[in-house]
Amino acid sequence: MRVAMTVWGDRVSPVLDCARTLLVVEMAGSKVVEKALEYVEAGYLPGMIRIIRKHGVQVLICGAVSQELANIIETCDVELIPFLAGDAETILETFARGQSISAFAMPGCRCAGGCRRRNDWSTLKTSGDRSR
Amino acid sequence: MTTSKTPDSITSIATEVVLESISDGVFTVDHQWRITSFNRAAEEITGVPRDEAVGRYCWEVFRSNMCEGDCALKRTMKEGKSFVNSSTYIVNSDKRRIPISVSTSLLKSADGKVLGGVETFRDLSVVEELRRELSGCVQLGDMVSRNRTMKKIFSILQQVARSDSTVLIEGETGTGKELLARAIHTLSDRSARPFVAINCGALPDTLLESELFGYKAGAFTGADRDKPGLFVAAEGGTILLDEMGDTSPAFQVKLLRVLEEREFQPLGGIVNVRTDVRVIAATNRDLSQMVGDGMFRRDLFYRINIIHLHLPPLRERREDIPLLIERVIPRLNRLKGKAVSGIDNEALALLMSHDYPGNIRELENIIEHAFVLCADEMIGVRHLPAGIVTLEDSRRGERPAVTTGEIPKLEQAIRTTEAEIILEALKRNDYNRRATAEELGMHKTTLYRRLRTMGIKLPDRDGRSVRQHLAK
Repeated sequence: MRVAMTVWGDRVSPVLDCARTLLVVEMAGSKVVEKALEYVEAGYLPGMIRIIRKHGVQVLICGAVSQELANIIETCDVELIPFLAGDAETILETFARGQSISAFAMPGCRCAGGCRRRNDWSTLKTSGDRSR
Repeated sequence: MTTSKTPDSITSIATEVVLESISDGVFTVDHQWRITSFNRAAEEITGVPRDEAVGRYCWEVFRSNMCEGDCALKRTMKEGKSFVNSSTYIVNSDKRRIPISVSTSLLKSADGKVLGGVETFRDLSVVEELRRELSGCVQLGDMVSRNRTMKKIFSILQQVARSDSTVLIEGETGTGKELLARAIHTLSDRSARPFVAINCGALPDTLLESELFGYKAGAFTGADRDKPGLFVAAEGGTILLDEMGDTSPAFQVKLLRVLEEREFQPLGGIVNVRTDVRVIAATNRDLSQMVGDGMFRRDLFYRINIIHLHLPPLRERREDIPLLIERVIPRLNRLKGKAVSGIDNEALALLMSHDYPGNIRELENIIEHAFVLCADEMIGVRHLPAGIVTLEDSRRGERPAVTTGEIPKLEQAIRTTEAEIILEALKRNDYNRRATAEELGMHKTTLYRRLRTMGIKLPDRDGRSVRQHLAK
């Protein structure tokens, strides 16, 4: 499974709308087996979508995202897991192991409708088949 | 306001009370960028409760577009200078972008030791909204609107344009599908290359194919030399395939292949030609409905329906009518060498109540008609087409306009009734002339003659779609 995350240094980028770096990883079993960094123009979503399509990304993990951009990304058949914060590698490893990543929710987002409406944090695990 | 460590003094209490009562958000950070205090307004603006914010990195709470790049607080901490009213936006917990202005300064102790930084921010949502209301409209290329749906389209158009994805534009005839397609092209990275538009519904299959893909010499009688098609003409640019819903199943198969393989074969050719053209499809029909009815290929629909934009008809954006008239009048003044300054209230009220089956194109035609007759400064009801006046009068239950001298009362009553019956039949049949004539039991040419005699002008609307529907 290909998973992408918008990163800022070694952490999740705070806002997807103006993220500049995309970390694309290949997950096999419960491990991250391959990584690639891609750079995009800040705020230029089409560039990010091109990278997502090029790598066949199925899941995009990111920080805060505006509703407009979330809608556009979801039309690209990509599962969006927004409003996460913390160390990128730790989150990806937790996700690869199929464990809940709810502990990495941004402040104010655990109960906020905006980020929970689509994603129930307790179900954000890699268990089961995510291939489309 | 909760602080990590507050001196126990009256000044401190007063400061806390003030900070809690103001409408500007305020937070402080330490040298590790962790939030040490967070006031009530900050909670409200960001949607983050104070107990969750304190102790977290400021960018995880504040979530501004400048966190990753040009952070004002970072500059303050680095340069020791204050910054006032930097404009930016944050994304709150409800995924809403909130426009804000930000001011930053150093947080110092009484003895001048730097403890961290302070950031104050003001929610500018209302100011922005008022500014938009005052300017009233959003303009994009040749398109202008005050309408909410249109503004939504305009707001995402730049991203749509730069995505290079295939776009499907749906909307009734005259709603501005080609203008929107041109705007997408102009905003895209392909803007320096050609924009080519073709009406697919107007041409039979073979002609459409030769127009799009070109042909080789000898492909058919009269083809004495190679002719490149529109895909070649639009190389590197954008092609608008208008009236996609009117194409045949056979053509849909060929187009699907071009979209998937990015190559085509000219008529009579044996070598495939690679193409790099962005395709924008437009239709005045409901393609998803057509797919359901088996009248349009499902695979092609999904191939072109990557980004879907629906243009509302003019009757659903009536607030734009005065704005559109304001824009048409100066253009026609230049073209016609006139000095019309506007439209009077009565005429505007009439135009506001019209349904515009022909949408913006119909409105422009009406104004152009009025220009021909208008020798005054203002366009009035008398300058509008008789059909509009008649239709509106009929809707109000009044008599149609009488344009010729004195008419005896009985004859006038007969004509009024006849006009009402014809107008009602036209409305029931979606202004399809043949269906109306059939319902009224008269020949189509008779209907045309009666309409002409009564001065009823019909909307410039293609009734073929209705005919096809009836035939089905």
